[in-house]
Amino acid sequence: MAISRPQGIPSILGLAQVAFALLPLLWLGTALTHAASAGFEPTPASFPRPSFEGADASQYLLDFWRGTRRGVANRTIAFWGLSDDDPADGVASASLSADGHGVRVARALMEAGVQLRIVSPHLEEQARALKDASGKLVFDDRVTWMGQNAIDSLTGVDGLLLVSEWPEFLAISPTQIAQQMRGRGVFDGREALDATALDAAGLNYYSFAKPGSPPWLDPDFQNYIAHLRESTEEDDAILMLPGTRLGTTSGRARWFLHMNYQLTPRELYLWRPELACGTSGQYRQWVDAYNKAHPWKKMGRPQPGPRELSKLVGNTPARFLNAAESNAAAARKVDSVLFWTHNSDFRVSDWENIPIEKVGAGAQR
Amino acid sequence: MSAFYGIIGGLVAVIIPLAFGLALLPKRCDLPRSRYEEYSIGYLLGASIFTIALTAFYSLGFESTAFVRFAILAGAMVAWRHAFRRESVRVYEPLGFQSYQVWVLALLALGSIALTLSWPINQFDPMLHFAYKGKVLFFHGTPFGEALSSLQSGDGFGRMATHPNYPLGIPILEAFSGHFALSNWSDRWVQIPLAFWAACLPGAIAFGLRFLSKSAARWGALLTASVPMLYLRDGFSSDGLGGTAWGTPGLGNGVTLGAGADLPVAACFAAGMALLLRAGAARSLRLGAAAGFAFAGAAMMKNEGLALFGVVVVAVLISGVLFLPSPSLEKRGRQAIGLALLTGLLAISPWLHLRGQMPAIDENYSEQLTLENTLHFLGGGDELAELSPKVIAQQKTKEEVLAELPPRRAIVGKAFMSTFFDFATWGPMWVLMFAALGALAIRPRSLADPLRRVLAATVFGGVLLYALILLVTPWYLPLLLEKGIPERLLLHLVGPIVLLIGWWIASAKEVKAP
Repeated sequence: MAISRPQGIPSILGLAQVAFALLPLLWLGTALTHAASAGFEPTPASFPRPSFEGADASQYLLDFWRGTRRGVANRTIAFWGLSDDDPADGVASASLSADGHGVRVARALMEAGVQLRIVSPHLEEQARALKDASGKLVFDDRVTWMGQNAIDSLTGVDGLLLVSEWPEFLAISPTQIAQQMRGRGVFDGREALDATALDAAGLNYYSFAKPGSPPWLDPDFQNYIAHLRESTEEDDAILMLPGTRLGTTSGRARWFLHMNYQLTPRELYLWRPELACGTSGQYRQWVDAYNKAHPWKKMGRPQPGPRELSKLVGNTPARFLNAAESNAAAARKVDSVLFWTHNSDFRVSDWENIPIEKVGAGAQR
Repeated sequence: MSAFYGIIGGLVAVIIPLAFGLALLPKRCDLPRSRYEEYSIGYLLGASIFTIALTAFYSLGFESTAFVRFAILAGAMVAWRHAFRRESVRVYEPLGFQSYQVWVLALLALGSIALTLSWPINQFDPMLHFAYKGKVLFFHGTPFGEALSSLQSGDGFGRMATHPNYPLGIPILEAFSGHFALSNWSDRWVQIPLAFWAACLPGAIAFGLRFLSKSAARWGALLTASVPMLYLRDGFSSDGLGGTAWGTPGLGNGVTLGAGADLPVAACFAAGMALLLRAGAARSLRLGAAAGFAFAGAAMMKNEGLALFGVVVVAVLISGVLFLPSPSLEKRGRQAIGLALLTGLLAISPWLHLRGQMPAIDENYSEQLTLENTLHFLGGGDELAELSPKVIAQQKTKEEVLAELPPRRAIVGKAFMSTFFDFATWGPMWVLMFAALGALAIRPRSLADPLRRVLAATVFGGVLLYALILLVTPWYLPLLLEKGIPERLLLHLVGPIVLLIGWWIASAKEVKAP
């Protein structure tokens, strides 16, 4: 006698089918919960925190100093933090390994002859005893351990590198930092410092964190887009020009593509967009090509002073277009010129949209 | 209020293609189907027709004015009326899913729709490669303006655009969502017509397998809906349970759902294959034409759709379907398949005309896919280390990068092998596909069925094509792998793969219970 399965009771095969569906079902449920908890609008907090890219950081720092007259040897740097741990997880969970990004950067700098002043109060003891694979101590006498004295660590140093964004580091004011340091370079591996305030304090801010969130979610970027939407007409044409020499440090290069998207139908023009809009590699080629074609010292454009929010409404700096730029602006009947300072931190003062009449009045070259 | 208009506009942009798709399908009495199958295949077919027609319209230099939008709306109403009034038999023929299976399918479908709409467009590719063009069509009514065509002019200045020669299918659906929302563009609600791909794909597979057996159709639908890659890519396998897939679920480049183009290519291509099988089996010229439209629809979504249509053409030709008589495929069935190819070619041609007038940046695979290049990389040619970001940034020399990398063929081979055994991204799909191919190898007589030959050749040719594309890519391959390729490409083949598996299951059951 054949025994038939009652309706609604799954077979083994049927159960297997359902089991395969569990993973995507679970993920969809988690994703929807995540979206709901963020109010169905992504913010930088919806993404992972910016990550610290150890190899890039040491390379960048060393290249930066190699390009100067003093070179690398005998440089001193304040080294804030050593671990990759998220401060939000608490001090208790902080840990250190010889392969961690922070430790690797410290070792690369030491090997290049840089003196380190390390401030890592939570992990100093662990770090002093840290050994590499061959059993040798990782940190030697080229390191000065500063305990909790972050401010003291800055006295007379050539630069400051932030590896971990512990709250005690972020609480130190840019003015204090500027007063203590001999050099001007502040290198932020976490995008955690206040770039505008550092800049206003006369320091040079460099961020090389790998951002966790996409650039168009940066609040300053969004605010400036909103400002441009309000202050320009939909049929406006805008010529985009760098206000300073282009650099390649940006982890958020090609932000202008997002600005272009957000401001459509406004017409945004850029120099050699076919290269600038390509891959991130082509973007770097574009930066090189731009700098070769526009030797900054011969451009007749003054370097901007300290960035201030007031520039957003002031629109007063003297700006000049060269002949090619003037012709391009005239041919396209542009309404304004959007100058940008090449920083990756998206402070609102990175952009200044100046009506063409004001730019035109000062046009030289 | 604008959200209200956005939702209404998006829904209208769904109903219009659906009306055209349903109108083109044969009557239910001639071609039995369930409601789920009908609406799934109807939407995919309709979205294809809608985007093909508007691409052709744009390619002739016309602009989408208010009058054009009104005419489309009126046409859709006529199509809708036709689709429903012609049916003398209003009964659907269910597939016989058990209730728990219906729940699984429904939850996955509704979850995919809800997740697509739960975030506004938030990824690089969907935003810049597609939605930007959608905005251009929305505001300017034509792709021929300076916004897409003037990447560079004589004086060096130009407008910004990424991949201006990508097809306009997704931009068209987005632009018309905005139009029908009383000219309100919303980064969230223009995604409404793009939210149904994952929900429709299993229905299309069931439609394609129904003529073999209802059980195979049910199996195919459930297997398809359970492929994690439909919703996100390589999230589980590369990140583990604590990684970004679970940390920031639904956001970032690891998500397949949303306003990207890979899922719609997969969905339209699956619809094309399903319609092709039914056209041959039912000897229906109408279905043959519909299959051609669906294939062309895949080409409207992303350039890979064009290449896949080429694979289908080659698969049909080398399997001899059009010329070799077969008891299981009568003359009219062969004509239906021939008509599918012809319709596809005609439907794609306006896009090719338009594409020829758009600038291209550095991604011309037809120039790249040469015998010389293929033999070079097959013979152990080095990776294009000069394109490594490290080399471009002068952090490493080309030789240093090369020293760390195996030859390109090894990179490609490793990428494919890891994909085939990546259960967390694909479920059991690849293993079952190899089993199905193995079964064909063991019982070559199965290939006597011409439709099955076409299906197997399409699967084989598709995988081979993507292997070749990776082998000769003008990009730096390790960077492509980081961006989820080949997974994103192989997703396009989910349809024919599951159809092949379904056929194997149907024939295995026949053998078991003669």
